[in-house]
Amino acid sequence: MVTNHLDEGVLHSLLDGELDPSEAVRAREHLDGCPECRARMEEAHTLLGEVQAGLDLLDTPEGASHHRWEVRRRWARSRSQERRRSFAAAAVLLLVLAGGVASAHPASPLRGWVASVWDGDRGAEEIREPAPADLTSPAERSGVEVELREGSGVVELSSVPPGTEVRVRVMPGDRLGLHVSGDARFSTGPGRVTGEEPGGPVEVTLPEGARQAELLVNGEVWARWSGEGLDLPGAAPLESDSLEARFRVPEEGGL
Amino acid sequence: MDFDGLFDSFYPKLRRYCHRLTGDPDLGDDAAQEAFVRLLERGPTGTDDGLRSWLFTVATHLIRDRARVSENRRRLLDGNPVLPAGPPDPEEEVVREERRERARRALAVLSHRDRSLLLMREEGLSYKELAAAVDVAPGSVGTLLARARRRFAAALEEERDGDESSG
Repeated sequence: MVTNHLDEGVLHSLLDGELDPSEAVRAREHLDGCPECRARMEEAHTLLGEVQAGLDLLDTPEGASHHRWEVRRRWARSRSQERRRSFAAAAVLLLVLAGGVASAHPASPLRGWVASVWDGDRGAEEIREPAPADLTSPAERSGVEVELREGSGVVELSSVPPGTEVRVRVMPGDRLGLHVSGDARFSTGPGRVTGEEPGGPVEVTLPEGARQAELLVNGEVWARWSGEGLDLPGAAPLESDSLEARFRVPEEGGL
Repeated sequence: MDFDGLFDSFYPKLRRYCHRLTGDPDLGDDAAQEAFVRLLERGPTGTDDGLRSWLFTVATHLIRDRARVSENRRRLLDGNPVLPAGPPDPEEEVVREERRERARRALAVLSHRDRSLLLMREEGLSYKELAAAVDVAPGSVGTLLARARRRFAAALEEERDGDESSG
């Protein structure tokens, strides 16, 4: 008489090929000598077939081609947010450290200020306010934006001085953008923005919704967007991902 | 493995799993993409099995956390079919859609864990991966899967009987 029948989990593990080889051998040996378990094994086999038939009826999503791009886009956004968070954290840490170092110096105005706050002696003559932070205003920013023309557009930069930093980003929307930290001569046309002699770092926006959008720098295509990632056929970028690139205009016009 | 390699290896099955688990193409796509982005953020290191298990686990948790159960179930019951490409034969399509609807309803009455186990197994996850994904001992997966299969088969049978008696 056979005892210790195989439980349902073992039968399914065997059918699924998930039993260890030694356990599988033991299970098969048991099945050979146990009609009851063989019958249950048959039932389990039939059950598997019914379940498979039911699952085969379920929907299979189609058209995943754009998902590759969507995942890249979400990843790029998440990295960008992470960079911003890291930068903010680093900035706060730097401020705290700088404040600590400044307070430790005997001649530091901060030291006196901290001591005064600590002592509560705010009325004394030697109390000096901490030096104000450097509030130098950033360079004046200028720029223009235009809509695409029939889904396409071009941002053209010319007479860009060597060493100028150019950043291009793919952003949601349907407008081309060109912004300069400093002066530049701008002109626009349908689906086209041009900037000459930018006096500082340049930021270019290519719209995500564009069928095709290009950035030309000194007559060369440096970046092209056609909905599937940023193509960079021109200069070697300082850094780049599928939605963003940063360049520095080389000396002597070389790439 | 580079991005495209990872994507081609894991994403289509992950997406199908998410669609079927939620019954909602939008929610399914969102969960699949989010899980994939998290894999990229974390750094896709480890064995293929480990990565796949991790992806399906994260997607399952995302779906569980985001979907309100009643709303999700309602959508499953209402049906939200992904339309096939090309013009279908109307009669064939009606029959196919009825069957599909029955399968969706049968799946909808299962518990979240039963559904996850069945659908992950369907996408080729091993028992070890399933155990990690639903947080159970590997030795109990066979039993849990067997129960889930019986429940699904019974639910399918009920759906068929219900349709025949009402029709």
